[in-house]
Amino acid sequence: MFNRFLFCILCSAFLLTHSYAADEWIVLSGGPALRSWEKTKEFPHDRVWDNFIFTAGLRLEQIKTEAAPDDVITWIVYRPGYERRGQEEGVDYLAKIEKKAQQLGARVLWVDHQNAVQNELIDYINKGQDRTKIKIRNFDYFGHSNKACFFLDYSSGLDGVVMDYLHVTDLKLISKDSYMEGAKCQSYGCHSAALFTKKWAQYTGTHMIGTTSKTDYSTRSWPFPSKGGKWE
Amino acid sequence: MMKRLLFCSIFLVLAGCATTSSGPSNNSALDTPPVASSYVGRRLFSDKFMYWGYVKPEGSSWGKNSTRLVIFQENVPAPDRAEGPRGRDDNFEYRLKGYFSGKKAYEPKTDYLLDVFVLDGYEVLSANNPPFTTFIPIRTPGGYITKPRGTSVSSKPRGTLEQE
Repeated sequence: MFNRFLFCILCSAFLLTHSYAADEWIVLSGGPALRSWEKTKEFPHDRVWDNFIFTAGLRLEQIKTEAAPDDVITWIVYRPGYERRGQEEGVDYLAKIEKKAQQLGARVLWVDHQNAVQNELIDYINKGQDRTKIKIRNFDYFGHSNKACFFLDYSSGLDGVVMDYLHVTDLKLISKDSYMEGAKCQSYGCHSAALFTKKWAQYTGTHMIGTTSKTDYSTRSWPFPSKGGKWE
Repeated sequence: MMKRLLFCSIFLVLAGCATTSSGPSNNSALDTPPVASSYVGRRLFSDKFMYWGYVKPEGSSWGKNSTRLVIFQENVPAPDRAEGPRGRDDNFEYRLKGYFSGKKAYEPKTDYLLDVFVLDGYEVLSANNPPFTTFIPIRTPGGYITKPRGTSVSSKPRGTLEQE
């Protein structure tokens, strides 16, 4: 009798830890530059406000067809960038993003700070879900970057610089336990394959696809490596 | 035994509450910018990079403990933005009204993490100064760039910042 009881307890524990294990799909959108900083420059960035929203939407549409019904789809968006651009252009871009997320079946998670002292993004990756049960199986980044850093903002708070970022030196703070083995990760930012993706693999244990060149967002479609670049 | 358990529990709870903090802000005595009632700034212009120049407390000599390479947060437009063209004031010295915000900004072309100085006003002190040759920013630990392709950080001769 006792053995049967013990068997039932063990079976329940196994079921609790295994059969309800959903996965998480994360798409991260950095913010746009302000026109007031960029419009007089020789090569201005972000003529349109939604380069990183439109393209994230393309990926979220794909994910919707790939994810299991219980999976969590999280769209992390850098809020201050869209607040500032919205104030500049007199449009409520936050509401537009919320509406788009609703249409795509994703949950928006607004992030306000990721820098040398505040780690909202990293904290979410590590502890935003119970990572013993819900692992990250997908991570996509749409935004400005150089080879060492994802810029959550660029030329937004201050001209030509970045106030919130995920730098390669911060990747050591990400817990390897957050990601499932073989997770699919991709950076649609510029130059990530020159350094960032290598460090990402080192610290997260997952492979990230990136490009060796700039990434072109000008065609209102999927971003692609500019001339001479390739995904790797 | 109970006391030991209680201590361990409290320790574990506190440890669990700790927020992660990242590398660049830690481990440097240079991390706290100098506080003063007025500052002197020396413009260091490059059309490739977005820092403004060096700032030190008025009355201090230029040196690694007193001087910071800064990004401006412009409550008033920076001198050359106000009067253009940009960079026309390379090596000018200004008395600056303002303060260090306590925030740092990442300059993407150089991979430098720099202090943000909030500019409330300025006046020109001198215009004909020899350039510095030493470049002493707070560099992002583990950063990568020494010379961005097609540019050169050290292309202009710069005067040496004297040690204090």
